[in-house]
Amino acid sequence: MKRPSARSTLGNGLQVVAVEAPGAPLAEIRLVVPYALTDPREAPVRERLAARLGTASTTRDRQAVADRTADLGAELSTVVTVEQLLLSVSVLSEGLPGALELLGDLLVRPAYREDELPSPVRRSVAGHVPAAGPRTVLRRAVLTHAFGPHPLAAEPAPAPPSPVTADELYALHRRAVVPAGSVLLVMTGAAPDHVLQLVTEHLGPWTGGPSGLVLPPFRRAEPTPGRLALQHPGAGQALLLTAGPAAPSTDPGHAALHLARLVLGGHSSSRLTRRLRERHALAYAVSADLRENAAGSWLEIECAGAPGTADRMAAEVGDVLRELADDGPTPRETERVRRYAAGFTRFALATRAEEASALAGFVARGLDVDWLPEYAEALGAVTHSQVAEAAAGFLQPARTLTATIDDTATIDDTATADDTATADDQEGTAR
Amino acid sequence: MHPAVHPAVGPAVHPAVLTRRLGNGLRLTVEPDAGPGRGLVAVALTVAAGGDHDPAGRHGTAHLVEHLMFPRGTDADPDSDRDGHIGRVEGAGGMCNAETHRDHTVFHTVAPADALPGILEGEARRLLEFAPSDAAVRTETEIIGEEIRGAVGGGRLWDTAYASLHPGSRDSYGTVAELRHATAAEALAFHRAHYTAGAMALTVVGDVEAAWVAERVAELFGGVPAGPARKSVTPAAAPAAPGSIPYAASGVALAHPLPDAVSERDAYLAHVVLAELLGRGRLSRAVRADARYRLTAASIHCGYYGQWLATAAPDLAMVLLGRAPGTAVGEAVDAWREILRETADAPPSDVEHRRAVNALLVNCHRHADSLTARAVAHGRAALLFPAEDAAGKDAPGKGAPGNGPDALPGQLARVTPAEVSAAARRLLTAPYGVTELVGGTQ
Repeated sequence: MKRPSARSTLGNGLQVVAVEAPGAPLAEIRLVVPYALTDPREAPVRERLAARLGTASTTRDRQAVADRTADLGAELSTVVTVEQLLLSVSVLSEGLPGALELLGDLLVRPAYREDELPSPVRRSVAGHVPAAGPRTVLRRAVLTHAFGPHPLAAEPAPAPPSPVTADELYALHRRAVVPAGSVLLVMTGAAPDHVLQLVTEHLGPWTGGPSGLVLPPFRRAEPTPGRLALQHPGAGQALLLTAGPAAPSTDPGHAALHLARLVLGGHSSSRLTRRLRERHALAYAVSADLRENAAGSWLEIECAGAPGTADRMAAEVGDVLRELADDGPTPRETERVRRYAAGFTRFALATRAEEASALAGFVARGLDVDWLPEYAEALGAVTHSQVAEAAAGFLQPARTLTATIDDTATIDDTATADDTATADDQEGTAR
Repeated sequence: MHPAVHPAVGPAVHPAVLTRRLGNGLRLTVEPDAGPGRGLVAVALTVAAGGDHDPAGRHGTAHLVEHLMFPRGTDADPDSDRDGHIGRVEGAGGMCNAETHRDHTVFHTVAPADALPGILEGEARRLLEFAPSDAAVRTETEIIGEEIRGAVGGGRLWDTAYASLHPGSRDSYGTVAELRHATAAEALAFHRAHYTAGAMALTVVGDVEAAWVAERVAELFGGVPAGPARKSVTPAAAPAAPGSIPYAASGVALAHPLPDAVSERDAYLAHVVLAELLGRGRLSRAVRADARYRLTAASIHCGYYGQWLATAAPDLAMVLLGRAPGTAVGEAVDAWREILRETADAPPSDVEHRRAVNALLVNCHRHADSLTARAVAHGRAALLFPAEDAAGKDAPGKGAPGNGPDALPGQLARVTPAEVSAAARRLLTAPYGVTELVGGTQ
């Protein structure tokens, strides 16, 4: 569904999108700032800034910001992904001008005082890196083996002996929290032109950038295939994670791959769910997702089962991939996932909050704010043979890295692929 | 200091809600809320049967029956014409799921509006043709085992806290060792006993025509056997001796009973506002101001698993206190009671009160913006939280149900600072459960 919208780039480089969405008495604001972790040594400052951004300015202390937020009927939150800082505000409609004024204050006049930093940031155990859980260990191993060394797959740097200082936070704010390269989306019942005026008034004084904080591409565009079998005593379960080849969302073949992925594991009637959950009760849930960021794109299967079942899950996943790659989906499966995908593009964004976040994400990735309805049309035009071709090309087990981590002493750490991975020398999160 | 915005207690404008009871007792709520251009519909089937209704020795039967309400097709053949329930929903472009709570189970579906005829037929079919096989019972039991393994990975803090207030209570997931002895006949018996029309509410929200829905529901669901909801045994709060569980950090979990969400709704909501008010700064300020440094952190979470008005079963507010080294459990509890006494002794200022209510209103509006959440809220309102002026009325009616999602903002806005203060006094005087959190052991 295309909504009325207006788009503008302010003089400071901030891309602004105002989307008109009548209904709930709320306005949704999303600010997407490039914020990729390009140097693991910066992780502590990066995390602390994200936690503190939006809590105080030089004109309002923490309590004043909290009080003003409450007076406006607003809720402000910050989320950090592997490549972005997302600042979200939900506010009662009549509070929109005040919320934009507050946002401008927090961005232009941030206040980071060392005495406000909570005790964890003081890093009392210098040089200590908390032990990663099995899920993190597995993800680091997969990314490193599949794509080679990369900030996403790097271990966190040991904490330096000194705490994060306010000066470090101000320096990173000046470098990273800047309008050029950032996207601001406002979704509300007000006319888009009026909203653009409000944004220009309150965020026009914000300056700086672009920061250039984007993820470098993976060394390899396609994952190195193979089989990794890791152990993690005490994990309490067996985990499976794969990395297979994929096409980016801007690729003409993406829609066909998307449908093939749905047949594989993207919904409750998928092949993987039928096989692993319903036939063998090996896992409560199994998913197949297309991952994409500036580093690259890949197909990821993920599931968890009882301890000792890692090899069995890996074998079943391999069989399902092979069957789909060799024989393709049935015409009926293709039609089912096409209808499912058409519905999903609508109900996945059924709330204004979800829609605002999604649309801001599209714009930040360089896509049009109306990308989703256009993509839905593309899904409708994909032929069954194109889906079968995508399955044959992308779902081959021989092109997929299958990694597991198990909780049994009986399983050997047998990495059979090119560069043997171990459970404790790799790092990375893709979400 | 800042001019406060008047809270937007008025909901989005929704056309009249149709409420009706079929001859067999099934409650129907239809809200024709198109949402501009949405073209979607959400359906919720709420059944007054949950974990508290599990038979002795079969902990998890309600959860198992919930799973069995999603019958499979001939899943060995992906090209089979016999799709299961989920396959039919997804094939129509929708998705569906279910949740088993202590006192009810809710099945919810969202789909393109033109799929509604098939969605309603599917709901009626799985109710009227419920006939699981022993093989399906075995498979779903194993799947539930995997579900539990994933869900309780982070510990059982909420269930432990609840049991500290209601000794002997059990969660709604179940116990696989008991379910492994369950049979299809037992599941069928549970279904026949509890999935009766009088114990159900069907809710349809979205881009629909209410009159057509009402007519079609009467045709499809008129054959559901009549029968009242079976009451579960409601445990009175009777705290046990303090227990302990491993936890990431040393602390205490306190379980405070909440007022009955039906008969004392105003008092229940006053506790919700109290929790928001405390969580918005009073707790952290009190922790910092404590000259004896007894606590490292404090938080309060209203409603079982942090969800308030999600059940009509006895509900709780959980308080988590981080204990400073050397602080005994009793000292931490004393510190908490001192914090609570401040609000009990003096109502919050109007400004502080309004800020807490504003924060709750934003969450209410965001939640009510979801079609599925609206459908579930209407179902709970009809079945679990009947408003006093609507209770017992079986006649067709129009207008928003008294405790539906659009009524909540107004009800929250009516809570007064004096009622919040009274809620704090009530927490101070009522019995509560204590669980020691043993740090560094998880």
